[in-house]
Amino acid sequence: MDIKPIFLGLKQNKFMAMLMIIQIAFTMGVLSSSVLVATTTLQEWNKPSGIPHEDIVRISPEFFDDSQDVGQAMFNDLKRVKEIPSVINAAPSNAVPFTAENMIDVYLATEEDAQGFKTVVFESDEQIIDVLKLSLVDGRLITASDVVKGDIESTPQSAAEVMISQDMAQVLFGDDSAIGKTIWLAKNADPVKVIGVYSNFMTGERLNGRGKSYQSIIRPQVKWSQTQQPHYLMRVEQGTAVALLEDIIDVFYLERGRYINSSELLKRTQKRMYDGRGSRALTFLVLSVVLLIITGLGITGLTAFQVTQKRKQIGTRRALGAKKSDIMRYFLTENSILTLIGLVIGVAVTLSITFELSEQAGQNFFNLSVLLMTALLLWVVNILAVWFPAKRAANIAPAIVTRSA
Amino acid sequence: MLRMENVSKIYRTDLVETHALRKVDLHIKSGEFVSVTGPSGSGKTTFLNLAGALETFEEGDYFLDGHNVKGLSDDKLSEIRNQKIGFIFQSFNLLPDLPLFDNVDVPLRYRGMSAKERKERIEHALETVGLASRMQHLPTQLSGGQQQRVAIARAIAGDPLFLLADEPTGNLDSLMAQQVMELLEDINSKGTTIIMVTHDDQLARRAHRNIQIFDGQVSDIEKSVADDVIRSA
Ligand SMILES: Nc1ncnc2c1ncn2[C@@H]1O[C@H](COP(=O)(O)OP(=O)(O)O)[C@@H](O)[C@H]1O
Ligand SMILES: [Mg+2]
Repeated sequence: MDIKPIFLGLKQNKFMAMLMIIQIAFTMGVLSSSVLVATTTLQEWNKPSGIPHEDIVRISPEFFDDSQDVGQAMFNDLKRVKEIPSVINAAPSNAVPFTAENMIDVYLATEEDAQGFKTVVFESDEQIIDVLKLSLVDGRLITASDVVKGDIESTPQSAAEVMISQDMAQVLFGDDSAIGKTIWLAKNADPVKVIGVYSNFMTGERLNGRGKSYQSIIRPQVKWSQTQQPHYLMRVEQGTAVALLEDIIDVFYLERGRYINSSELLKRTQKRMYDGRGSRALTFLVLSVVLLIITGLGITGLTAFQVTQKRKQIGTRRALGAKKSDIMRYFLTENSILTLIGLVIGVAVTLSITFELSEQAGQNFFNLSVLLMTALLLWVVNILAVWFPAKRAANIAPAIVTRSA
Repeated sequence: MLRMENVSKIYRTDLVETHALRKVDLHIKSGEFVSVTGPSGSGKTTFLNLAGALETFEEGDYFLDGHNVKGLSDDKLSEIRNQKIGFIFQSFNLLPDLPLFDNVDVPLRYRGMSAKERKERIEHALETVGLASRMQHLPTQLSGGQQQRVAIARAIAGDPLFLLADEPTGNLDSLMAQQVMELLEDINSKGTTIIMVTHDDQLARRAHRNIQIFDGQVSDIEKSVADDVIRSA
């Protein structure tokens, strides 16, 4: 059957046609954007952490006694922790892998229009490399003498040499060696020199969400104040992390004026990160499925309404020689035409949404095959949605033409 | 050309059985103009539905062009309606969304004719009913009489074995009814068989032959006799 009569019919029912097209376009736009974001999120799922997170523990102290020498207490804590037999090494750190939030821009120049590169700076001492079990890729490791230590107020100077991660080096310097290069951790900051490159490790969701999971900088400095102290990160013998949390209580009782605000196995920190990510993707997907069902029901309703309105016309077609299959085909073809138009508009909407999202997140969400799969899915849902009212239309008896006024 | 033998139609509902047609025997020859009359509820529409293959029946045989229609599949019945019968309804039943040209085109498309042949037939049919100049108009832009003429064009465009008209003038005023009736007579005079259901005795009398239905039973009266019956009624 040709489509000319269908087009003529649509021309006389523009409102209904527009309604269907808008519904399909809107669904396609929202559905494919959500699916694209969700699949991109899930694709990042099993990226390696780059560290033996099963064997690393975080402890976060908090000092309440104003008369306390925070620095001294902190180094006492770390010293005692290292004496626990199962602890291999420990280091203070302002940030924790998987939850690092202090994202900044790093620059290769100080001009007004210099390009910034996203990164997270870990401030720690020379032990951090061993605690996270990072390996040296280029240059040299930081040493104890590189580390700037002190109370924030009385220690204005900062470490002038840093190590950067492999991905960071790649992003900043490409195939050139990063060693000896100068970078700026803020536009108006003092320059710092790269002395070494270490193997990648995952910083947290803010950079994961931008596809820049492994861009980080380690700055050898430990600073504290009465209200702000670094976390303690410690690596333990394999399989002893849980037991350590018990043992460590006794150690921490030895220091006064400080309590333990929180502690966590990094394995669990990682799980929290993935849980959040999973529920975000899940929320998108559930919303998509709900939208898909609503759209399907909407199309079924609109078509059923049309069929009821056109009973006499359908009976007339049957009387004039249309087979049941011709009636089915009429509705399926009509719907396919509207679906096609809706999908084209929907894809345009999707492209602009994902372009916007990609811009914001600095990550490419577009994926042609996911887009095509979504379009196909929507098409199938549409056919199912039209199938039943179309079937009802096909079953209208031709005798209706003589039996009803 | 059209022969019914012992055809009965019973409508069954949970409560009642209605014998809408009882053992109808009937033969209509090619070229005839037959009117079918009878009181309301006597079975006229039922007869038309069976003759037009719009409904099926369980008892008797119905031969169209020598082929028994009884027991054919729904698809086959659609084909028969499409190729052998031209329908004219009381309420015209034009498709409101389609211009006249495409209304006449509907049965031809289901027949799978080439575009060229369809176009020729449509134009010729619309010329026959005097509406060739309004091919691109929508049905709602026409008067009732004009709409019925389009329906007639649609019925004759496929050169059917016979036309089946159901109260073709029932929704028209007398002048328009007159024009439509003259058109049907004109078409009949060129050789097309017409079966017309009506309750209008004036019109019935203009047919060659009048078939009366009472309580589902057919009495078939030749024209000369029919005239007498109607006059004396
Ligand atoms: N679909 C149906 N179901 C049950 N009874 C019907 C149906 N169609 C018609 N009838 C009954 O069959 C009889 C004949 O009806 P019909 O052929 O419509 O008569 P007419 O057209 O002469 O007025 C009536 O008694 C009517 O009520
Ligand atoms: Mg009737």
